[in-house]
Amino acid sequence: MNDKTLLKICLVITIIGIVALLLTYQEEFQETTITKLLSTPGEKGIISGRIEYVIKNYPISIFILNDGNKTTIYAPKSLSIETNDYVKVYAENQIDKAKGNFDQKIFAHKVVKE
Amino acid sequence: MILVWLMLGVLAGIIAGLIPGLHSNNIAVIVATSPLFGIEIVTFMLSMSITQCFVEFIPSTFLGAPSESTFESVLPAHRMLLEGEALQAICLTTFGALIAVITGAILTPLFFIFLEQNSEQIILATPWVLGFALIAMTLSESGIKKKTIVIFTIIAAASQGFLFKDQLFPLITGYFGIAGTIYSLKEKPVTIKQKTESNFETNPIDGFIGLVGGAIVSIMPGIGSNTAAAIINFFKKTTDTKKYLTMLGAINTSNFFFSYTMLFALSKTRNGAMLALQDKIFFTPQMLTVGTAIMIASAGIGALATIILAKKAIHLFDQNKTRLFSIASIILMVLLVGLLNGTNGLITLIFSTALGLFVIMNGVRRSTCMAALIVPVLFFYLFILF
Repeated sequence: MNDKTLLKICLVITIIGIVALLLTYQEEFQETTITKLLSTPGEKGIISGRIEYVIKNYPISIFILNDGNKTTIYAPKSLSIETNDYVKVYAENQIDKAKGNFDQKIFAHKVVKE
Repeated sequence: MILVWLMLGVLAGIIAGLIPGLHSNNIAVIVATSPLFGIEIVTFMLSMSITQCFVEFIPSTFLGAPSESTFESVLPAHRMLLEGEALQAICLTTFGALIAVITGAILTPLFFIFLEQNSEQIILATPWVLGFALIAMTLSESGIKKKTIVIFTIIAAASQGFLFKDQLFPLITGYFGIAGTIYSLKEKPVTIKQKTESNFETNPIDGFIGLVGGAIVSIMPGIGSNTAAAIINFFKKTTDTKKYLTMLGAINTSNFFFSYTMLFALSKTRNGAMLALQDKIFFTPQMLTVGTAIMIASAGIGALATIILAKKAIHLFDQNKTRLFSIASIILMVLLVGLLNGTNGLITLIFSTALGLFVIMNGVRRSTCMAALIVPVLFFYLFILF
C-alpha cells in the first residue's frame, strides 16, 4: 500500500461515516407542552416550566412541574432543584409497569435549570 | 448543524494533537463547563478526541515530543525518521487506527453485551489485571539491573501518585511530555532528507491485536495505551518497528472508541471526554449509534488530515525549527500546568519530570511511570473488595 491508497481509504471511510451519521441522527426531543406529552404514550419532548413543589429529592427526584398545566415528573436520580426553580425538562411519557401498574408517568431524562 | 459541530471538533482535535502537552482532556474540561448539551457536545467531544488519536503521532515522530498515549511510539518512529521514513511511520499508525475504528464499530454491539453481562466479574478481575500489569512491566525488562530500576520506578511513581493524587495533568506532562522533550533536545538534530511518498507493507492482524489491547485498556482503569503496547510486545516479542507502530495506532484509537461503549454499558468514565459527557447526554441506543457514526466520520477526516499534515511537516521541520518547536512546546506545557494546576501543579511537574528523565536515561520503558495511576487504583479496588 502507499500513502495515496491510504488517502483514498480515508475518503471512503469519511463518506461511510457521514452517511451513517445522517441516517441514524434524528432530533429526539423537541419543544412541547405537558398536555401534548400526556396525550401520546411514548412521546418525548422538552417542557419548560416552573417547579411547583419538590415531593422528594433522594435517592430519586419527584416534583410537580407547571407550564400552564401541572404534572408530576419522576427523575431516576437525585437533582439539585428547589421549588420555584425555572427548568427545562427533557421528558418522556412512559408506561410504568411496576407492581402490576400500567399507568402513564412522565419520566425526566434530564433537568436543566434556566 | 451536526456537521458543523463535527468539523469544529476535528479542528480542535488537530490543534490538540499538534501541540505537545495540550491534550483533548484539557479542552474537555473547558467544554464541560459550557452550556453545550446533548448531540452538540457528543459530536464535538467525540470528533475532537478521535482526531487527536490520529494527529498526535505527528509531533511524536517529528519532535520526539510524546503525549500520554504516544510515548511508546517515539523510539520506533524516531528510528524511522532517521531512515528518512517519517511519513511511513505516520501512515502505519494511521492504518492501525483506521482498522481499530472500522472493526470496533462492527464489534460495538458484542462489546456492549459483554460489558453488561460481566460487570461484576470485571470489577473482581480489575485488581488482578492491574497487579499482572505491574509484574509484566518488571519482567519485560532484561537483566537484574534494569528490573531493579523498574521496581524502584514503580515505587517512586506510586508514591507520587498517592502524594499528588489531584495532579494528574502535571504528573502525565512531566513523565511523558517534558521529560521526553528535554531529552530530545540533547540529541543531534536530524538532517536526513525525508521521503515525501511512502510505500509500506500492511498486516491487518497487527491492527486487530491492537484493537483487543485497546478494548482491554478501555475496561481497566489505570492502564494506558502504552502500558498495553508494552505488555503485548512482551508476549509477542515483536521487534518489527512497523508492526509495532500499526499496533500502537490501533490500541490508542480503540481505547478511546470503546470508552464510549463503556460509558453506556457500565456508566464508567475512562477519559476526560467521557467525564465531560456523562452528565450531558441521554443514554439511549440512538445516542450510542450516532456516536459510533460520528467516530467513524471523524476517523476518516482525522486520518486524511494526519497524512496531509505529515507531508507538510516534512518540509517544515528542518533541524533548527525542530529545536525551536521543542523549546516552545516545553514552555507551553509549563504554562498550561501553571494555569490549570497552579503552584502545586508546578511542584508536581518538577518531581514527575525528574522521574521521567531518570527512566529515559536508564533505558527503561516510560510506561513504568503509569504506576502512578495503576498502584492507587489497585489499592482502591483491594480496599473495596476485601
